[in-house]
Amino acid sequence: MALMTGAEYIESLRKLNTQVYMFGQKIDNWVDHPIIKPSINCVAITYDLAHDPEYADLMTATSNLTGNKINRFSHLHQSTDDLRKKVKMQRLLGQKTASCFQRCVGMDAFNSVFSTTYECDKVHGTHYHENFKKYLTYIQDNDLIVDGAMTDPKGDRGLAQGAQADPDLFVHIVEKREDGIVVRGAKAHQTGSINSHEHLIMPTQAVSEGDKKYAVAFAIESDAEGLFMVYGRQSCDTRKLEKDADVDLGNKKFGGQEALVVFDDVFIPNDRIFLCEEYDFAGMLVERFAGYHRQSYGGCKVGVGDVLIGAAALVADYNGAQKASHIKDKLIEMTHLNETLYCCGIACSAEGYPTEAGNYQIDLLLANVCKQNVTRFPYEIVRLAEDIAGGLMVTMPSQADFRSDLKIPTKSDLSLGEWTTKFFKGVADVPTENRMRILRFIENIALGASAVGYRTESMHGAGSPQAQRIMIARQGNLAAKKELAKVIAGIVD
Amino acid sequence: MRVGVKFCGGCNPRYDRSGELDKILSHFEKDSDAFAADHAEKGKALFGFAKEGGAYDVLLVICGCNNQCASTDDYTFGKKISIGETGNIPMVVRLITEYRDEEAQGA
Repeated sequence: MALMTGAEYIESLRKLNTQVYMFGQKIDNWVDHPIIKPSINCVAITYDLAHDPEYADLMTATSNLTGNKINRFSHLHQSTDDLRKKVKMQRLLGQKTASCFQRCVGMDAFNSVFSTTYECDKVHGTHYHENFKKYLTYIQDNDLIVDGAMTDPKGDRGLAQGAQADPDLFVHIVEKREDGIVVRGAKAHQTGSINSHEHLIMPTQAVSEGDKKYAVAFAIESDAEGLFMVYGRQSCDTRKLEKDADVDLGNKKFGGQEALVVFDDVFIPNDRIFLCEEYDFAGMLVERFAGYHRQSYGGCKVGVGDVLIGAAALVADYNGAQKASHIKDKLIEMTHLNETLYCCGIACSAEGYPTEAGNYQIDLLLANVCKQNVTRFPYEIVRLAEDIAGGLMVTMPSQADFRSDLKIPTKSDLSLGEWTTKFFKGVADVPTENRMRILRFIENIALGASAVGYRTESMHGAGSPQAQRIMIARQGNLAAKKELAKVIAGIVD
Repeated sequence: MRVGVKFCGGCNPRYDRSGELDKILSHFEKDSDAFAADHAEKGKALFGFAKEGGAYDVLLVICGCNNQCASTDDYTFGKKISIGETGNIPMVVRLITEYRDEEAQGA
């Protein structure tokens, strides 16, 4: 099958019977729901740009499994060049959407499951790698979206999986049959889960022998029996339900999406199982997925940062402040921080290496340094954007006020729209609405619906800051550094 | 002469790549008024987006920066012209004109 277009992707979602709940209700037509639609548009653009000659070099790749042209999001990285192009593609899509475009989790899951199953099979004599290659070929051939799902609800963080008061707080096997397994549990914070055709489930953390029923990885259709999703609400989300919503949304077309995905005794056939109680490989799978995903943030957040920096520069123009030296310096600082993140994404890619299975893995230390910076720099970038924007970003009237014909009974006999337009104009040659639009855009990223992706996801997505610090400690090669110091200092033990 | 046009992926282009292409094309309007060449014609430079597996007399690679990371593995071509920054239009026009005229003269 040829690469789908965005429109074809959206139509393909209509054929699914995915069970979606939001605001206490079942949502039957979730494809056209105004709160969900922007996140679907984001994924759709990953399809459309693959057909555009201006972007196809990044958006497509040649499958090592079939030799066919595929969307890069379904690709197994075959070189460090592929790893770099992944980051560049993510930056591009961040620029085009100013949102989380949700497709990276699937790509990162493909690459980590591919290499882990290969090594697991070698040790345990299992056949997961062949299962997975067949599965991925099916995904590539049909150009499908897969939600790579790792994070369990986790309950009491001080307890291991099996010690929880409720055993369902981590996805686990409840029954083993001849033809497959039955699983129960949930995955939380799942990016793009509702608008994915499939889910690829992985353990959330290392597993001990006593908890081996939690060492499970598998693929499942998003509309499988026993599976349902609860949409995660976002700041200012109900603005999307307002009549003629436009300016106040800040980003009318695009947005991110997260959901709780529940498995209430879901059957998984044998050919879709990629780990089943081989607890000694759960940690490897987690570490590899986390590594890839920490690399991802060195691309996607940079692209969103590019748009935010542009917005800050525009609002400075509209405010008439663009020549002030401190404004120029703040824009330089934002750029410096943003490009530093990009440096990390490119560096961990350039230092990648082949796994035993043949696909390429990023440098784990540099990827963790990348993500650690991402837990901090976007906050500073957005703080500087707010600084440049000014307080009007959060105090201005609504779009309805600016467009209102309602006459105000005062001496001037102006309408509400005329009054607000008059008093919120910046420089004379820029329409007030343009100024409102760019301020609402910054608001959207700073504390509106897109803050989910740009701020808190930067903090906790792909692992919270402490998770990276643990990996940095493991990979930091401290013993060798001590030896270097001893040699220079003339210390002989 | 077939000229296949290939863009890099455009992650952070330092100039308007498609605008640059339009300017280059404007120098060859007499050769062809349609940007969809799928055939060769002696003495004319006919442009079109390079297609996977396609063969071109000249592959024009327009990259957004000097890293010039666009892959050209999927094409066969006689000559390649690659640019990574704006300001190269005279050079590109001169080269394509030279190649076109050489081909017309049977060189």
